[in-house]
Amino acid sequence: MSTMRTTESVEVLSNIALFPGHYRITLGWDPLTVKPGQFVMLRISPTFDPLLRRPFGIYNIKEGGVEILYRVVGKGTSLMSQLKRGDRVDVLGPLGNGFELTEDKDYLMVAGGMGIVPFYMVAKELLRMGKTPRLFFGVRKEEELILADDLKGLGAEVEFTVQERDGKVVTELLESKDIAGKHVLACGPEGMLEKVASICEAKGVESFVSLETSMACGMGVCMGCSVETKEGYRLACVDGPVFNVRELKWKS
Amino acid sequence: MEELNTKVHITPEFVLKNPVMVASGTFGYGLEFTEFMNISQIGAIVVKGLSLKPRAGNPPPRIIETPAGLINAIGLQNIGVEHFVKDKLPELRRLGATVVANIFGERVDEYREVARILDGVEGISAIEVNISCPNVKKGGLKFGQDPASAREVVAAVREATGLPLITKLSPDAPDLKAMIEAVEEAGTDAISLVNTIPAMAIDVEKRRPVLSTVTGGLSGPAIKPIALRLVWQAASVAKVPVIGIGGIMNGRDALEFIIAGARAVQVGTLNLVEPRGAMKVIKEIEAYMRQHRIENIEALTGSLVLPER
Repeated sequence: MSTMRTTESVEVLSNIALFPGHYRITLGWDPLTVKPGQFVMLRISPTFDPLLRRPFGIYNIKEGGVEILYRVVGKGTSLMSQLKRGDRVDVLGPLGNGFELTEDKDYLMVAGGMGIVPFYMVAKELLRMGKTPRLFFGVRKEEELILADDLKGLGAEVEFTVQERDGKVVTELLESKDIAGKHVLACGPEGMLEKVASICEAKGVESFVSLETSMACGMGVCMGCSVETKEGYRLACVDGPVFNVRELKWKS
Repeated sequence: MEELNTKVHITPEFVLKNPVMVASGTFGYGLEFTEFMNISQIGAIVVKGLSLKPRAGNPPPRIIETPAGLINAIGLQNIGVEHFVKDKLPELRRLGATVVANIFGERVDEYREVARILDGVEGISAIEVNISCPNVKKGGLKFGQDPASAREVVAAVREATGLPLITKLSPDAPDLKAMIEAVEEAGTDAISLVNTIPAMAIDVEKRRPVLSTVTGGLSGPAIKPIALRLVWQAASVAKVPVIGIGGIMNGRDALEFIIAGARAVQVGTLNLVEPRGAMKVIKEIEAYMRQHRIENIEALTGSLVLPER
């Protein structure tokens, strides 16, 4: 499936705090097609400080709008959190390869914290295919659990672990389960993804991870977002962000 | 008012339809932008630096944003000159793009060889010789800091091709005047400056450099005033046309460089932020010309009025 990239100024329809430091912004943008796991580059401010666009995973497409969940981490997202209904941002996208989902496979989603972002659309696509979406979700604090409410609302089976409460991280949950025959899709911090990769390798199951890297252009031009693979450097923005873990060379 | 004349002459044969070029490394091979604009409307597209063999580039992390700037350490990742000519150039030609090939070598004979491959290839309008990349261990900036080495590179390329030659200079050359004289003597038709400014960033938590290569090259609005000063100085000593580069984000920035003495400009980092940025710069220059009743853009080059002493 090919998608058409555009860049356009769009209206902010809403920008709501979910819990401290975490927001859901809805943009009045209507892309032709979006694959689960694709992302956008947003220009928050018409000035050049911050200079670059910021990459955000697409959370959901609904009538008349695109939803993005984000966490305030720096100057760009801090400015973004102050946007109000009627403000405008410039969106470039949809970008990246996204998750390749096929009818004949059985999927298991594994997310850490904000790594849940791509999985709402993955879950919707799995439901469309007549499958029950299944997610292992790990968070640090209990308040983050509300990030999974939408997926539960869809009818997805969600198993949690809260690190501060249960003393367990999501990879331990994954390790303890029988996942034979599954295709694991994972998104979260790099350390978690590396662990997911090694667990899946040990259990002999295929896994695909969505990587987060610093990025300047988002369209394969600056070559800033290189990822080390067994076949040399690939770019997270156009060759990814989703990679089969068998292709990747991890740092440690 | 008569129709605007935005044409600029880099050499008598190498004429751009407008003074706005896009800088190497910020516009890919040009084809990445076809969804956003008609790329034939850009003055010239300087493609990603080409080497004799494909180059993998540097390990990540390769980029870090700094206030109003971007430090990069890409390391000239590219598909190699032959692959470019075979797989990218035909489409660029079909689309009517004005293409400048930026070339790079680790040794003088590599520059010569890349130039020889490009010589006579239909669809290449000029060569930009990169002797100023701060992100490669061999070649690159080493040639750009020493006039004798720079002369050797440019002379080798000159001997290998009849194409118009632009030599891309570093802001880090200890003696800019000597550098310009050296590349002029070696036969360059124009100079472009500045390449990125060597720079660094440190992660204080880890007490480590942010970039894998420790240092990289700074671009963006942060460098514009420095680049402008260097372009103004270069234009005052150069016999060949000067192409101004460094943090141009809009038409007025471009006009500053032109008034300082640049015949044309290159926009770089802007392309990464606004895919249609170069088109906007062109439109803003045209609006300025209309507003100030300037029919010929070349009349603006070097039109800076200095204070009387």
